[in-house]
Amino acid sequence: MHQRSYQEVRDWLFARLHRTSGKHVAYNHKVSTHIGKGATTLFAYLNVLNEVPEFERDGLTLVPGNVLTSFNVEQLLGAIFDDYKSRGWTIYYA
Amino acid sequence: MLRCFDLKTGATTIVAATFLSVTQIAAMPFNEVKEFDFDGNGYIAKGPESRALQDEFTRLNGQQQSRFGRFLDGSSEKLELSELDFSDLYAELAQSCQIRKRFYLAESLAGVSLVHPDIITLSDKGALFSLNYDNANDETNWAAKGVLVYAPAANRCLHVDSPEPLDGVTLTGYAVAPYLSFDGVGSSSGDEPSDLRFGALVDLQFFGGVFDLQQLQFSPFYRTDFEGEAEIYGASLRWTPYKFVSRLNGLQGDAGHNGVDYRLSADIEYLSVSEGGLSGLPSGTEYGWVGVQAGIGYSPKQLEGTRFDVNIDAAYDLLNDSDAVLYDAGVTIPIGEGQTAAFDLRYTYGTTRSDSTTQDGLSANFRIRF
Repeated sequence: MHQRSYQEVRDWLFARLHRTSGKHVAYNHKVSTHIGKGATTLFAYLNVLNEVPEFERDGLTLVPGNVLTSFNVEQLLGAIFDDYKSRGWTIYYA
Repeated sequence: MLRCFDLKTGATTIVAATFLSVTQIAAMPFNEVKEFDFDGNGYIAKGPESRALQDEFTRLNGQQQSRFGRFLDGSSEKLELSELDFSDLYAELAQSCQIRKRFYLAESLAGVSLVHPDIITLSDKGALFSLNYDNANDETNWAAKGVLVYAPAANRCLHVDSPEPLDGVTLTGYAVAPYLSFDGVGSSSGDEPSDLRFGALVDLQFFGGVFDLQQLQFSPFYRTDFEGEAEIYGASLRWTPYKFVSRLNGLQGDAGHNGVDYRLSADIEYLSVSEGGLSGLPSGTEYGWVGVQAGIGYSPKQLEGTRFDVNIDAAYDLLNDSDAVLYDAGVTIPIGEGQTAAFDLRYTYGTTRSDSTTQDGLSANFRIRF
């Protein structure tokens, strides 16, 4: 069974957002604070996340429709967990 | 594996084993999550309640896991139960697949995205309305350029429910919409060429591959002029790619970029001119344009929102062995908050493909969009 810890996935997401904005990343930040405004920006960034080596190795498949432009970082993390779970992975809290 | 909870102590006891994997078990209903509030005070408190729910962490849905994990990581001693109810959020996600905003106004079809209706890009411009008076010649001139789109049908979530991995470039959204576009200048001394179109727009969204996102727009149309004299039939196909880290077509890119961004799109356009009218095109002619639009912009960090850019619109007419190349360079300065209005100073030189006129001039424009 494939499994991944909450902390691993969170750290990968936070690191990629930090690389994009250069800012400290917090759960309650709007995603647009780090990547810019607009649905096109958000949808394109989903492919950036899918191509993060760790996520790509795990088969992350975020697509437009998995997220809202109003999402904060916590909700984007939740969307990533939902994608893992939809593909049969287990997310556990270490 | 199934567990039994002592509602008073929160102790967890394994009572049975099953052959179901955790991933085969549906996400825990919110009513079941409530059962972890052992004292019924409406909160999950750090201690027995949180430990019991943590034991069932794998059964929470993704949003619940994210919220509960944040709580476990944080210093807060209790988490309100209602914060683990994400039914409204999942409903909103489902609704977002449909287009809610029905009317769009922009400078051209190239600035409209039905699949991404709240597109905000550095290179995006609103419809243009301009009026000026020439004292020397006692002449009033006006100009208008824009497109009004009505979007009745769309789906932006074609791959959402599929657990299958993307196989390269994947169609993830579509929209179909009728539109009215206008582009023309006029003066008190006489009629000038103009372009008035009625058409339908088929907007396709592709995700993944070399580009993060691609948009393909197909549009059959009927074209006339502002006097209704021209009669022209045609169709166009436009491709616009987006690449985040390359700052292509308005995307932000990663931190540390040098302020440079790029524009790129390509199109094919076929025209059959029955009556030329005020279109600037002769009657009884056909055109088959293949074009590329490219540009490079620079936004100095010291001048927030201000963008200098140079662009080229190069097109070749396959049916008539002719070309039209139009260059422009300018600066766009935002006015107020929200990037809905801007002052634009622009120099244009070259030949337009729409009416084959030569341009060599400087213009100052006020642009607004909604």
